[in-house]
Amino acid sequence: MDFSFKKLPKEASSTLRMCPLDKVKPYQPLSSPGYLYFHHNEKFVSIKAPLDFFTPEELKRLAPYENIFFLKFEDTTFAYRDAGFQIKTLLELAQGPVIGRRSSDRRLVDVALRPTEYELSDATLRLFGPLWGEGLSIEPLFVAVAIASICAPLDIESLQRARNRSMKQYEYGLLLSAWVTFLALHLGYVSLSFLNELRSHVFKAVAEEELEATPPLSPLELQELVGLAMMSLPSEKTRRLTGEFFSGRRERVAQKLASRFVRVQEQMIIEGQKAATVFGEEGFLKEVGHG
Amino acid sequence: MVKQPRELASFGVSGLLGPKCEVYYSSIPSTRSLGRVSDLVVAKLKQAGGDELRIRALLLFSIFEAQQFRPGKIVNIECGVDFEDIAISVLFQAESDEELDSSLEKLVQDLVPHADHIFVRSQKSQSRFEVVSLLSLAEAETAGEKIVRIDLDSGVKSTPESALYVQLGDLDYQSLLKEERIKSALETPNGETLINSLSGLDGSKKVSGTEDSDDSLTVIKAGDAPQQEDHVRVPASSEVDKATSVEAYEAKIAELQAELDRFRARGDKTSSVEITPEGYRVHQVGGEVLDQTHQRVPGAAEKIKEAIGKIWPFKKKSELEEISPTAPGELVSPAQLAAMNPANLEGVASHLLNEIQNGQFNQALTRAQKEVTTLQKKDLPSPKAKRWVEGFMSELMTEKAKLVESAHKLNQSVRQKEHEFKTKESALKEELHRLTESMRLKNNLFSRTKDQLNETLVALEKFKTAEAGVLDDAKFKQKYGISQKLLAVTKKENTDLLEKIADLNKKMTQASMAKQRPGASPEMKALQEKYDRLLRQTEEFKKTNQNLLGKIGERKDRIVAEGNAEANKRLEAAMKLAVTNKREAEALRAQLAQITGEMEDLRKKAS
Repeated sequence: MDFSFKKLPKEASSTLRMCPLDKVKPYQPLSSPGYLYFHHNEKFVSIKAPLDFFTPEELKRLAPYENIFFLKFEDTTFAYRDAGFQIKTLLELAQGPVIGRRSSDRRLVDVALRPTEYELSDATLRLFGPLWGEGLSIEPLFVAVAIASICAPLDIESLQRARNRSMKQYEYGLLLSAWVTFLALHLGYVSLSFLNELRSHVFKAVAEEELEATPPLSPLELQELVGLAMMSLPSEKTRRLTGEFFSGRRERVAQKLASRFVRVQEQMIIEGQKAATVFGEEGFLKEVGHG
Repeated sequence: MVKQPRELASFGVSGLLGPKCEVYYSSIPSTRSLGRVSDLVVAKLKQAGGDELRIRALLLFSIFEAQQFRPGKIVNIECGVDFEDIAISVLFQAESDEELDSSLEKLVQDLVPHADHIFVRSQKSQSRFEVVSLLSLAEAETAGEKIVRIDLDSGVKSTPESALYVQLGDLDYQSLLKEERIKSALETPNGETLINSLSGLDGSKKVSGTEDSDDSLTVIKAGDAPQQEDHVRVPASSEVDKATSVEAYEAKIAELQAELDRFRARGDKTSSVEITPEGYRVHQVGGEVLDQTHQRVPGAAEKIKEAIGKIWPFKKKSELEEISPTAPGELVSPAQLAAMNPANLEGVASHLLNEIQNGQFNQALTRAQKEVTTLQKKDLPSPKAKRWVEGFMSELMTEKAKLVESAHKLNQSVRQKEHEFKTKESALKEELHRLTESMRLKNNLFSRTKDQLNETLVALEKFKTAEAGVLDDAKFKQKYGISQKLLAVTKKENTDLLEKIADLNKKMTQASMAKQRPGASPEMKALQEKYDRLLRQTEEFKKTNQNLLGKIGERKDRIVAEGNAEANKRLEAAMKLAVTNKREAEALRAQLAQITGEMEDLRKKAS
């Protein structure tokens, strides 16, 4: 993914965020560019672009540097990560056994039923709703960040194959699979295992260019959903994703999504609230208005 | 169902309902929460007038049996409603095998008793199936085939638009699933009902008894005016106790006698005696009127005052409770304000209105009116007083009307205030929620920044200590190298010395062995003899050497004495020769220097 600041002076250290390299997980796509500090140059030099990932060998080789640095932009992704973690907790809760609370003498004193699908769907929308910006828009990178916090990590071999094959297609696969999963959550699909399967399916189909060879999705409407997602996110350079794309369309999935987005717009978006962006001073891309 | 479906060759319920249908949808991954999902759907569809039992049956059968085709896989449901029909659809995937058709047929047959029409859409090439059950809301009999099968392998058409798609999570499920209150016939709180059942339904009659434990019976007459009660004692036995009756009569006589004496004593004061239905009244000279019990009878003015006092709604100053002090500028104390919530205010306003219209105020007014009419007839001779009383009563009535109007206005303003409070409260709650969210995000950010700062400081400290240790390391390395070298050298020396020691030890052992063995070998004997011979020769040579040295010494002395003179001569000649040679060498050196100077000049000129 493109980004503007390939090198940063030493003085930029006050605005950077530091992370020990031994805490960086391999095969986890990054949400912002990663920098290393070179003492003899006295500069921060980028080594990873957003959406790229480290392999264990790379981490081992870079271990002497001890720390990796990220831009202040990383802070803007926390809201999306937090929302993702909360949703994941809810979805995991729904899959487990009945909740019970035992007293000190081991007798079950309090039993609660697991939440139903409609309760989870409502909760998911309430958590995702405030993440949309005014005008019901959101940028693809943040969708990917949120979904990465909900779903299990993608298959390692698949990630490596995709990245080695084509970086562009790899990024597009990552963004599109996240967008499809995001929309599926808005449609009311709240089964965590299903969402993991869906995301992996779409990523493999797109990033490894095996769309035709991949078996059709179950249920039926998800085929429609993937088609709509590809239309609204045509490439990895797409800047913004809007809910308005789905209004006025004839597809059943589009009509369903449009009605949910109406609720998001009316009840959850605060007037004047601006969504996070990768552009400008707060982001990692200087100019606005390409592709 | 009478109308023609809009689109049969599409998935979803929208094609079977009108253009203004509403569709409620969800995805069901398992049958675990099927009951609660059906509760919600039923609660929503009941508003349209659907039969709850049939709706539940169709939902449960559809979803449960669809799940059996591919257990654990998601099943999509849609429940659509328009003004004529309710449609319940379940969309699922099933693998084509031998049992597919029979299982599908079983599902359809289970739905037949509960539905008016059933539509089965199949797309076997994609393993997709949908079963839609239609319920007619009209009471008229439905027309058309009961079961319609549609094959979509040739192509699926797009779903017609519906007025509204609503995900089940967007419904107000809390209020839809709230239990309806059981309405009682009395429509009053249970406590009030119990109280009413104790005191009688109309509460007008009262029954009282005495605590007298006598055998005599007590008959109490009940009436509307509780003040008037007549007590009549009836002896329990027919036999009269003569002794007790004589005593009672004598006591009565004494009492009357005392009364008479009192009257005689007051005879001068009495101006006239008036006979009344209750007994008599004594009008005294001073104007006072006494009744038969010698109590002062209140006059007309006093009666009017008493009547007014009964109906006067406002308490006297002395009877007013102390109001808690408020801060200057406040009309209401904070405690009172805290107690004034909208619910209380409205209740107070309505209670006030009720009190004015039906309460004691109204009752007091009616009583006053009655008393005034009786007073007018009997005790108020002057027309002026009558007019005054009438005017006063009319004023009271107008005041009552004004109070009623004020109470109405108060009620309205209270309702208005309540509405305003509610809207303000909801706006403030929203604001609070937004602020708490932003606060939480900021707190998270702050904690993360703090952590990063701590990590940076730790790294900085580590870096500093690393820098300081670099120089020490070099010195230590050098010293270490030197020590290593010394150690190597020492080790080598040690090994050499050890080898030497080993050799010497070996030789020693050999030598000691040679000494210890007397019967040595012939070689040893020859060597020993040789050694001895050489030793003797060495001693002889030493002796001869000493003799020769002695002799040489004697001869040297002789030579020295004879050769001194010749040596001196030779020495002088040598000295002279050395001096001349020296002079010649110096001359030659000077010539050489001169020649070399000339050569250098020539070279300079040549260059």
